[in-house]
Amino acid sequence: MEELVDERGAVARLEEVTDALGSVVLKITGELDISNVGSIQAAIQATYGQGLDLIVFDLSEVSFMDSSGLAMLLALAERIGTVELRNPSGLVRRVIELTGVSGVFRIREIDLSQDA
Amino acid sequence: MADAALIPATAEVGVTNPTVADQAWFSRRPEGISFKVLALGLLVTAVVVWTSWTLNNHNESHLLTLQTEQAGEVLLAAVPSTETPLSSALEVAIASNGNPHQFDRLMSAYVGAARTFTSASLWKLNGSGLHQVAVVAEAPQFATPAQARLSIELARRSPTFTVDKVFRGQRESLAYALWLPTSDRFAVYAEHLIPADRRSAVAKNSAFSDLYYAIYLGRSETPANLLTTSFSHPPTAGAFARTSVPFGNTVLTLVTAPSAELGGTLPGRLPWIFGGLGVALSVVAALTAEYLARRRRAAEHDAGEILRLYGELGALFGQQRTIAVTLQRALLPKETPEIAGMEVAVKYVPGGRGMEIGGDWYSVIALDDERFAFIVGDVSGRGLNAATVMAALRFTIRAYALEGFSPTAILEKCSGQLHLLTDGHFATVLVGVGNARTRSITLANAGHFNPLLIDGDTPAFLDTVVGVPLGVSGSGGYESVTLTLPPASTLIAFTDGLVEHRGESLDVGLKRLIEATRHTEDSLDLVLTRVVSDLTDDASEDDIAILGLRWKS
Repeated sequence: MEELVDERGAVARLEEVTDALGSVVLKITGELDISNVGSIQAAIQATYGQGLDLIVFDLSEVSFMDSSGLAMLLALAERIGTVELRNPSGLVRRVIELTGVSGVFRIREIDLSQDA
Repeated sequence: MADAALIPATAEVGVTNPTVADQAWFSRRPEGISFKVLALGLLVTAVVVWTSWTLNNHNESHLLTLQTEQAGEVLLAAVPSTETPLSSALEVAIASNGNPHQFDRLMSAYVGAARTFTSASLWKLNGSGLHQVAVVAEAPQFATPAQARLSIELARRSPTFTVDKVFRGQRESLAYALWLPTSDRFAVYAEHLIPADRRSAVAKNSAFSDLYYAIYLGRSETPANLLTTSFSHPPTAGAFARTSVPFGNTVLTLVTAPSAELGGTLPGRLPWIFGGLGVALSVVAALTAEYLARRRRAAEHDAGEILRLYGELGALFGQQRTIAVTLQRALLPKETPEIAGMEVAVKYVPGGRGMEIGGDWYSVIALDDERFAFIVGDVSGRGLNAATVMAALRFTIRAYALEGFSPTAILEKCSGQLHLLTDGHFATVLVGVGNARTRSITLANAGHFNPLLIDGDTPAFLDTVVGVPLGVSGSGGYESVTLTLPPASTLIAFTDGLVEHRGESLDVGLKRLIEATRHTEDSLDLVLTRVVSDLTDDASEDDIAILGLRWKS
């Protein structure tokens, strides 16, 4: 888990969870913007940089995402192949819709949390 | 926006002030507090010294009084040694009816050098006067018949023995005479030679050990009355005490002064010890205060230095921000282009956060007498790199538009020129071609917000086919929409900074935009101004570009 705090005190948390099917899911919580997107990208790169063709994000608790956050997701999709966005929050969903990039991601509404 | 020329001037002021502070800090000028501490310490020391000195003086004078009284007692105890032989001799004379041998035998024990008397004589009164019956003397010349007669006459009127001071050449003597009413016709007369050094035997007593003393005959302390003294000069100043003891028909007056500290040396030294210690402690306290004050000043100085550096940093940020905004302004159209039959207004609002330049832009290009192209775009991210991408796209799109390419063709051509992975940015772009006369517009959209159409008092977002942003793989295949707008329509295109706010949904921002544009009787520029003021505040972070187009008919 990694806490990424920008100078205004906005916090994004990157957390590795395992879902009910045993898949590794990266859960991002909080605000994803230009101030911390670099650190998150570096953290993901360090752990999942090589040999992946699928990366799964849980974005259900992302409360803010700007174009830099979207750029990070788009870049991962281009580099890795498939980026699955699981249960994106309304805000994330709207940004993706308005930007016309719904087709770039695999968006899934699915509840696979272990405690469910 | 601050005038760019002002920034260096301000920065220079920021550098000059601390230099003055530096000089103040490095100066050797002592702190005021240390003087106060020193003054307080010295004051306390003075009070302590004065108190101990006063107490010691009081104590010394009390001890002097006590010791003088003690010395007086010793003196008093010595009186019988004079009186007893005289009265004994008188009694023997009466009993022996003036037998000279009896007198001789008795008094010879008391007469002689270093004894009580230097001479003693027995006198008998008969009808013709006083006659010397017997005399005991070290040497006959000490007996003085004339003085003896005088003293005995005095003694006849005195209930006790009489004492007189008499001169025999250069020497002084005490003359004693005793006559008792019961003694009938006999009287005893004796003389005592005062030693040349005027030292008294009583002075050997320990009661006199720490005293200078003078003993006077009578109450008057005149040199003529002085019997014995240890003073080289009679005391004129300083502490002294006196007491009197009865001595025959007169008194002995004892005047004393301390020859040493009567209470011991320590009490006398205490004021000096307190004084020395107090001054030393005051100096140490003052030096400590000085040290602490300097330390504090140093800390304050450091804090000031840090604040100053922050200030400088702030000025640098401001400066860089100014450069960024200047650059961005340079990349945007210098003036709002004139399109015949159209009212055009634009706004560019730099984000309040950070100093980095944003990637937002707008363009309006007249294509011919009736047709014009308009573009609003936003390169993701910030910084010089984003601005560079923005500038490249802006001029590329402008060139394609001037070449007469359709909006979809423009986007298609540009989609191959930007790559998210290599450039690090993607761009959302809305490209439109409009006709000022026919009010027909064709729009193509690469991931950008749909523009707002205001028809009379009814604002609504236009539907476009939203394609993938430029730079994202899979871009291309853009589709355009063409529609004819109602007369006097207003079209507002914008970038995400206007409607994207932390902590609220995008739809809330979009709804607020609609609310802000409901009344369009104002000039287009005023409408955009209201939009900006209604939708942004000081906390707005992102840059905002807004383009407004209004058909005049």
